[in-house]
Amino acid sequence: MPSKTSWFSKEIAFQNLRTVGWVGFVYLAGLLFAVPLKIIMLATDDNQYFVRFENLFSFNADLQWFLTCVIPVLLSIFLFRYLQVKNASDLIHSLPIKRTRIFNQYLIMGILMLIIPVVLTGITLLILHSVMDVTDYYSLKDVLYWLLDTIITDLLIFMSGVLVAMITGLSAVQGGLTYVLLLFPAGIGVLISYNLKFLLTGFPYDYFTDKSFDKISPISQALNFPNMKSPMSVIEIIIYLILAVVFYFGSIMIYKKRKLEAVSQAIAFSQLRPVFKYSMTFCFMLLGGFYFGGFQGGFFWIIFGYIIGSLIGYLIAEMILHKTWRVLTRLKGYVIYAVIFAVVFGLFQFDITGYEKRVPKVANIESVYLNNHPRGKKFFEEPQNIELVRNLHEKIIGSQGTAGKTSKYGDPLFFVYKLKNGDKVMREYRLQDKDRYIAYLKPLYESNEYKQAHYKLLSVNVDMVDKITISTNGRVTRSVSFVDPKDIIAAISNLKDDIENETYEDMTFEHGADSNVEILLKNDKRMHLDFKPSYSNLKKWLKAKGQLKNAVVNANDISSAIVIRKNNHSSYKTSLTNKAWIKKMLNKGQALKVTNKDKIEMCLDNFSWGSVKSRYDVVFNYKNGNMDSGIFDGKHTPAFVEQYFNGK
Amino acid sequence: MIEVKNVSKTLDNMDVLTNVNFAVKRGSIYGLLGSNGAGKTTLLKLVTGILLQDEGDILISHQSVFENPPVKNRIVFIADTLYYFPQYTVKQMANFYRSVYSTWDEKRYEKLKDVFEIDESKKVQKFSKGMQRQVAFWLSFSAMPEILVLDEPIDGLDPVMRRKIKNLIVQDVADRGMTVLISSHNLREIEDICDHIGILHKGEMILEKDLDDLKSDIHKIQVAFKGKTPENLFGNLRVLYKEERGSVLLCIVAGDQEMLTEHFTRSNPVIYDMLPLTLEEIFIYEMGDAGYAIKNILV
Repeated sequence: MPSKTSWFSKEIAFQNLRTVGWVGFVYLAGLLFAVPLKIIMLATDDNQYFVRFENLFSFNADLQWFLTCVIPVLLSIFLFRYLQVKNASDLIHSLPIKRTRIFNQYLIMGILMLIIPVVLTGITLLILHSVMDVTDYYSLKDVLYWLLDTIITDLLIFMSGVLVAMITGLSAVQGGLTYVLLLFPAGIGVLISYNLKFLLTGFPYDYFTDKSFDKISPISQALNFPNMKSPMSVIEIIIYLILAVVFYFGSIMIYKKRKLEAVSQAIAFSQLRPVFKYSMTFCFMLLGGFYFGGFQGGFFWIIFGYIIGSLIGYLIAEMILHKTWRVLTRLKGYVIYAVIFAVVFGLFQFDITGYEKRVPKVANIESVYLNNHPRGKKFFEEPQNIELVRNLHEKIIGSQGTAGKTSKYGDPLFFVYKLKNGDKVMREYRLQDKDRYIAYLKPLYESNEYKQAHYKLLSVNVDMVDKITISTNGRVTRSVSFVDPKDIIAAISNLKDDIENETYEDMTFEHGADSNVEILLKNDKRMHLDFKPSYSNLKKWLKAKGQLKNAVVNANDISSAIVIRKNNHSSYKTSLTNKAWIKKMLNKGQALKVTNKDKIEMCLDNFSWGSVKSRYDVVFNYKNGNMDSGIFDGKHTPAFVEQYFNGK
Repeated sequence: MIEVKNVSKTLDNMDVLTNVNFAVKRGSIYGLLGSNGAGKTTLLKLVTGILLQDEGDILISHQSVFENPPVKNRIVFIADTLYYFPQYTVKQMANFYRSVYSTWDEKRYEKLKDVFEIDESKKVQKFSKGMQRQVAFWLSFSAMPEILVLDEPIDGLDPVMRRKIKNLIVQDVADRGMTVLISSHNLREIEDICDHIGILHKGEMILEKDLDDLKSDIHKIQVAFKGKTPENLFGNLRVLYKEERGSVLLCIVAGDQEMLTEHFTRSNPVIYDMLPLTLEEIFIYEMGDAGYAIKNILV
């Protein structure tokens, strides 16, 4: 009877359809609701503002993401439920059918249940495209991409669920572990890099997170679909497919070895139970470090986080494995784990690999990047600058104590060395006292190479400039524009001179209310830079043209400035612009009212909007009734202010 | 037909079966007795190829049963707790079994409909426990297995239905040489249909017997002598039990009936009686100390 031995049994197919068919129907309904219906609603609503949709994932993006994450996992749970229910498992496996055959048939039914709703929705979209004017919303190519990406992502998530189904004996654990598996690569990447930050001085954590771990998990990646022009690259599709195939063969292999008596065990393979237990312990340890290190900081809190986290992880794993609350008597494994990791942390503290002390040799360095953010593209190539960066790096390594490792405050500084052999060495530091390194930073920031790299204006040809607009930045709005080529030449050349003369101190001073210079180029591109108080050439030229008053906020805009001395650098319980409070401070002699125009000008040139620790706050009362507040940092406190308060 | 050789199985680090050996001949009904936790269900699941033994061999007609569909096609297993697909009617379950077992006999199925008198268009999961068990027998008999494996099958059936099912089993064994392996914790439930009995105790097969041999082979004897009981009265006889009540000696001895009578009358007893022995008494005496340990399961 050949029909009996063929791999596909109609009755099993019916059985699958009866038990999990509803998942397919829910999926179809969800997709139809999310995409074609939404498009019909948009296309037939005349009052609708035009909204640009990047692709078909952008329609009801949240719902689509939800369906993609939930439906395949749900399907894998219900489809392979027979493995997790003792009676069903016994019945199915007593039948004269090989496990591989059951598996393949169930799997194919599952895949059909995923693909058919997607394809039907795709067909609906194609029909819609031919009968309605929906070209604003999508093209036929979009439909193709949508079909492909949805199916591929669904397949990978589904296969992950299937793989986990083979490993576990409980449906609930299957669901949980599937998401753990799917999120694991991204999650563990973030956790490890975050924790290495605590353990290794100089570990470039922000560099890694900026590279985004999103891509390595289908769930987080799918979240990005709605904003991407072509969601999945060919390489990604190939990787997903390879993974799905690997999971397929892995599942079959595991299924063949699976002992059916493991039904209703959290982990069906006893060899995997310790792996599960200690993975949980490890991940929760990192999570504990992440939480307490990130929100509290400090050596004690990080160690506390590790201990509490690992203990919780260990206990949860034990509870799941033994299916009981009473696990406090099983702490032997935890003690062993704790001892091993105490040793590992010790090794990190002693920097066994020399990671913290490593600075590449000059001879090996091709170029080097240094900045307070990791995303820049400009590298130092001149030998004396490379040397300076190296020296700075060595100085930082030499002077960082253990406190530096765990600090979450401080000025960030990124080093990226490109080596001649193609390797990269990356480091990140949070400097508590950046001024200590001024001897290295100053020549670097003031070097021509740095300025050329960071000020695009320096490489702009004056002929390319169409228009210059300088606008104020503060509680008054004014601007002045220049279109006359003569003016443009003069302005640009003054600005270039100012930039070339700009010192490190000027560059790092975060002045409040810098006016904005916008340079419009002939190719319609715009450049923006700050008009800093130190740009004296430009200031002089503007003054000569009689336009300075229009380009910057000046003393004529201000009726008075109030400088308030802080007590013990403490923060106030009230807003700085609380007039009654200011009055009280004036009466107490804690504040100074400035009405002299030159002094107001001094205040305007030297205040900043930072939140740096400062001894003085300043409040500006504008003539138009507005108020503004800022601070004087140590180096920029006007002399008359110090004099006044010191005299008291 | 069924050969179980040196089979051991560990579940969750517990030895459930240790070095179990037994064989079931074609056309015989083998009763597997044991208390709860003795390992009966595990043994049956090994025989039906659901579980895989850690050690030893399980052969059906000299072929291994695990993951071997042609062999499994000849076996039907009725578990102690039954499973039916959700929402399935008897008819749909029958369709499923028909598609799975190549030996399915539709005529038999139709015929058995009259025996069980169950509405085949009703959902099986809605039936009572006893009805569900009848459905299991209905489907199983329709699949015409060469080997029927039953785990505690009589539970939940009323006496009439018990009789009916026992008759069906016996009939299939007689008509087409079906082999039956049946487990129970209660000897009385199955002693009327089994021809062989094996007793499983704490994972070990402590006794295996042909029931007819057993009954004719062990005897309870009462003897009394004038004066002292002769020395060396028993000679080479295998004595399972003896007890003196005054001058009367009560003993349980293995051996052929005529041989025993001749042996004892040779010593000129004043009283000589051969008394009937119940099956459970036989087991208990046969097994000595272990027998007392499992006394409860034999009632």
